[in-house]
Amino acid sequence: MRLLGHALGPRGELPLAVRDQIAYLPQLFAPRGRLPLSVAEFVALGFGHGRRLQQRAAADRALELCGCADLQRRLLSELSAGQLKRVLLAFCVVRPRRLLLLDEAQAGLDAQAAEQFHGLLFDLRRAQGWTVLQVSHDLEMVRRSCDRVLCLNRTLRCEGAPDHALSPAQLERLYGRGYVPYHHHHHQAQLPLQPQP
Amino acid sequence: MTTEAGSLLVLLGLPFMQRALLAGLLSGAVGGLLGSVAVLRQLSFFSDALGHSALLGLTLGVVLGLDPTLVLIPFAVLFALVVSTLVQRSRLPADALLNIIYSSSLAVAVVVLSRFPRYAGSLQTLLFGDILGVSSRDLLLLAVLLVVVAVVLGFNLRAQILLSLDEPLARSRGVAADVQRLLFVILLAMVVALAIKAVGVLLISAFVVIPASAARLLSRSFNSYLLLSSCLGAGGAVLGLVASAAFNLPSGPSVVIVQLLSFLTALAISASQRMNSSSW
Repeated sequence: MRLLGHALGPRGELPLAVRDQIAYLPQLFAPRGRLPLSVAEFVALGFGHGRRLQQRAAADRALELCGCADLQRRLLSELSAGQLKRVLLAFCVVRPRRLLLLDEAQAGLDAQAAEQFHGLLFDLRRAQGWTVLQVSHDLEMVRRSCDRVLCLNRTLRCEGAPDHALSPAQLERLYGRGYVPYHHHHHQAQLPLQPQP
Repeated sequence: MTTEAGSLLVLLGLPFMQRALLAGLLSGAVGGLLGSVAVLRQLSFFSDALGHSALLGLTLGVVLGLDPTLVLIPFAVLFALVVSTLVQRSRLPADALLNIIYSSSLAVAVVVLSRFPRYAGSLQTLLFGDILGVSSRDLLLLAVLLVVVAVVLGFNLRAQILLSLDEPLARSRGVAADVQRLLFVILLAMVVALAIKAVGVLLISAFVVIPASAARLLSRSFNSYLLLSSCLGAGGAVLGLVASAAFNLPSGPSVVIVQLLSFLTALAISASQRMNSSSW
């Protein structure tokens, strides 16, 4: 298997230079306890080794980019779930990246915060030229914002453009006949039944 | 100048008292520094268990006829590594396992020491420490340890903070979580082993936990947290020793009481800050 043009090692290892071009945004991120860590300090940690001034400047830029420069003096433990997600995105992109891996990035957010986060993410993706690979169950969001969809259920079931991969026929094949679309007020989404094995 | 103040100054000028003050300053600073990370990683009880179990190491030194300080350092490091592996692999809750280990170590050590009449009487010294009996060699070891802890923590601070925050996130940024965990446990064991002569088996964890807990309540950034924790540790130790000399009180407990007062003050300041910010 190859990633960003480099072959993965037997245990999925990548050269450091390549690893630095990839960022990972976890599904759940709840800083333990009341860690006395400011937002600016946290984002600078994502930079890795380097001069302190260089780290701070990169953190300032990343916070600006993610629309949360006003939060830099706040403690991480004081942030709302939506603010925390944007700060986490700033942590991920404090160095120039090529690939962002998102594991259910909307988890823990209400519908409005999830909408705002995805708006920010996809604006940034266009502006920065990132590739974003995300795992999601929010089919409406996937339909609106992704270029290519891979439907997985133990194995690859189908792939292609959203119109093809998420067509009613494909969804019925994936989820079975019990599939019911669900809509709510903030944005349209579909909550399917569990996929059939 | 009153007679009491004059005699206190004379007492503070004596060589053994100056060594004690310096030992308090060093062990307070190093305990506060390492404690700042230990508290975040929820290792407070681990350091307590390590302290209690150190009595077994001291007993081993007595039985083998070796210098207890020299036996205690490798014993504490080995013990910490074994216990931390057990805690990770056992299906028992960590606090239950630590309790079993430290109470059994304490019991075995006391029973063995009771068979050596020459040492049975010094149990109180081992339990509560004897900072006034600290030698120049102990001081040198503490100073070297402070430098080692500061340098190692400085080089690994990013990894330690990320690991304290969220392990998957730390791993995704290349932190070798297992190596960092072991490194920290080794440092903690060394601090406990060296500071125990001054502070005693029962009170050692207070040196690690109380200054860091007080600093956490008052800090708005990680750097200020580290600095404040070390300063509160060192300052509390020096003030406690001066208080013990002034009022003829046991030294180790006096230091812990001063540290407790600093924690209560921090608690009051933090509560009043919260009330002020919520009233806005």
